[in-house]
Amino acid sequence: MLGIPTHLAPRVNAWSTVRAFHAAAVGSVVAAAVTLLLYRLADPDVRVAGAVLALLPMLAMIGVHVQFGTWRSAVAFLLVGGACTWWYTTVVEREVPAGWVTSYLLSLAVIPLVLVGGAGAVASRVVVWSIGGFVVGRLATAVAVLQVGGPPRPLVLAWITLGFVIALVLFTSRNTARSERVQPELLRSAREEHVSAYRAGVEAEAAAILHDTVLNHLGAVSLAPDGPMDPQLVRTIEADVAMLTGKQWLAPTSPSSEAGPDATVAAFDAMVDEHRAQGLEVTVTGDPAALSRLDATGATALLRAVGQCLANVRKHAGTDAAEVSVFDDGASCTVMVVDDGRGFDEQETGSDRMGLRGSVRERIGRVGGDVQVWSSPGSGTSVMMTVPYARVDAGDDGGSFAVTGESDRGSTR
Amino acid sequence: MSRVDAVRAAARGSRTAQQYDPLGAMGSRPLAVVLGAAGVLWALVVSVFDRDVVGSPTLSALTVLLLAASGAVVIAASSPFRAPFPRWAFVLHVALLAAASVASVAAQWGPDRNALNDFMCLLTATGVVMVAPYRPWRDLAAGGLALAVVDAAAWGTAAAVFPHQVPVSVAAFLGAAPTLVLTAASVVFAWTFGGLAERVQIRAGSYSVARAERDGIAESVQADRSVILARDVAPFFAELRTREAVTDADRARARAIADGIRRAMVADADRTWFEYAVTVGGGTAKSVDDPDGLIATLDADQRTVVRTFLRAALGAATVDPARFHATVRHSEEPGAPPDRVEVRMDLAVDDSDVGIHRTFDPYFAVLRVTFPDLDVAVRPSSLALRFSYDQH
Repeated sequence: MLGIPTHLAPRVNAWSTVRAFHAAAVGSVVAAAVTLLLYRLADPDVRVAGAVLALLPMLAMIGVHVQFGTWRSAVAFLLVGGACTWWYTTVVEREVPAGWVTSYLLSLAVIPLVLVGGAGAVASRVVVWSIGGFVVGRLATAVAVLQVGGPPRPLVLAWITLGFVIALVLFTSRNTARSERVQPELLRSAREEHVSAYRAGVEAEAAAILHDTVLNHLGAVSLAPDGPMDPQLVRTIEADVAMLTGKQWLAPTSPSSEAGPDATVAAFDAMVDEHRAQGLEVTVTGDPAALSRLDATGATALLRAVGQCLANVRKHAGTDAAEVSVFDDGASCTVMVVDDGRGFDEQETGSDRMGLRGSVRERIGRVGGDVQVWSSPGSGTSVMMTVPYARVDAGDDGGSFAVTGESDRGSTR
Repeated sequence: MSRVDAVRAAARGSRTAQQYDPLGAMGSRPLAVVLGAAGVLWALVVSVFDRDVVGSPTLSALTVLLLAASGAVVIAASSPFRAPFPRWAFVLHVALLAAASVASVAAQWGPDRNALNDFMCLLTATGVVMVAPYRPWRDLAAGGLALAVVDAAAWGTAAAVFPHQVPVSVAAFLGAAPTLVLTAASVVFAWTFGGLAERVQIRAGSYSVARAERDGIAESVQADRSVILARDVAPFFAELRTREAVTDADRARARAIADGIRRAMVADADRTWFEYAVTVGGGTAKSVDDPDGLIATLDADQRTVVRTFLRAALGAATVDPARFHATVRHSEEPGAPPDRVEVRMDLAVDDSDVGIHRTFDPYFAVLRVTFPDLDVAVRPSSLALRFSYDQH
């Protein structure tokens, strides 16, 4: 978590503060009532029922104002609260004998008037309402004290509360200049984080495509025997170079690019036929129609990865046969490419060999899938690739793109 | 309750306003400072001029000292440089306030005719408010209740020993009432803040890359690759097609081009986001010592915070990006879990330590909330940061 957006932070703070004020107001009324009841329990001569009753409308109006939060409800609360404070003060002045307790109790009735009025997020408005509430409370108590003929009450607690509210609102509602500078920086970084992850995914896919095409052809040329070039290799090179230097071969997936389930199965068949044409005896088992349940991005990634696995068999396994099995387990599509060739130790594969890493593992990983390889020298190779139907992007948006153009033909592991 | 609501409720109970909004908490810190200072000043004035009972000046002085100590604990622990506010500091703050409250009653032990001049029942209340942005609501409730109990016991005991018009139960409750009321307010503040912040907080994971931007990125990457293709590969293949036979020179050239492309691809694949960010900021990839690429195991929020600091640091006028250095290693601390990673960053800053704080304190506040063990060493002309995290 990176904090609260700059434009919302003052509102969150102000609203939390207003709620805290409401809680303190209710607490103050309850504290006054509890004190009076305790007094009554300890000294039956102190008759406080009238004062406790006077607090009830005030409590109810706090509830009304909390519920509606308009300036009308605030005015209504001040009017009812002022009247209740007057009533409460006349009873307390008459019944409570200890002077400091009387002053304390009167403050507890005035404090809600100070705290409840300001219901907005604007600091100055809260302060004005608080001062207004204090004036109403002060007037109500002063009138009642005069009527009863009691001594003046300083209401120290009410004064302290007013000062506290003003300080609290002014301090908590301001954002420092430095905070305002840093928060947008965090937002910018959060955005960069996504762009960076997405770009890394695109770059990885571009690298995989280059590996499966250009590097493959260069490898084939470097191993070509003396004499004219293989016509099939020439055709493939021409097609791939035209594709890579011509149209948009890297593009995000769009709904329009999803050619439909039949097209996916047809692309799978075409890819297998292509490897057959190059001399690999490929046996397809299981249910290839399961591929049609994948979305366009997942299907593209899986077909390209399978193509790279078959290319690896052709180039490295020392066998001319491979089996491709397609399974549907309900939540994902699994394809296994199995050969009984010479096998290899993945740990000993050079770090500059990008075939299995970039064109199979990372490619399947980018669409939320998983790859497992079982192989050891002399015991053949099995590669199991699983891609979920309801895809969860690995690395944020990094996997949400597909590559258009030629199919894969790889040469290196 | 949905799973999301359950997670939010759990987070709300354990996280503080400071953790939700470190920069906002930094802005409200002056309130804690003012409240602490005003409390000590008030205690001092009342202790000297407004005691009904002469009592013990030594205990009065002790009260003020304990109060000052609790304020100092809050002021020190709420510093963004030390964020987040630790629980032990809160416990110490509450304990010092409780001790001050007892000392205050003991200082004027006798028949007190106006208990309102005992400032401690109010200062324990404001003491809870001072820390409301820094502790979760459960801690505030527990601490506030503990202080209320101490206040009630102290005032009740004094009223019982020296009866004066006011019943013991009333005196005890009035001693606790301000703390109870402001504790309720503080708890509601922390609870409401947590609930709202859960909904609006910035999460790196909540962002997405717009379609237009995706197209732009794909075009940009394709353009980068096309340069290599157009410069090396396409001319070679075009030339090859004109030949009648493949020669040794052609084979050697094919290997050379393939090796060059493969080297660039491996380097790209191994380069971490951190090295890229340092390079963009003006530093060099060599200044990042992360042989295992461990920095890639930070989660999105952590990366965002580190990225923000890195950009601010390398972009600061007083920092020379060329002298930036970072080391990322598995933690070798005794007892550290095996997946613990330690990061160290060193910067040369052409500024005083005060200037360094002025520039970077907001970033430290965010970093500290994200990496609680962040250690910052500031010296004139140098800044060193060290933090650790568990791999994700």
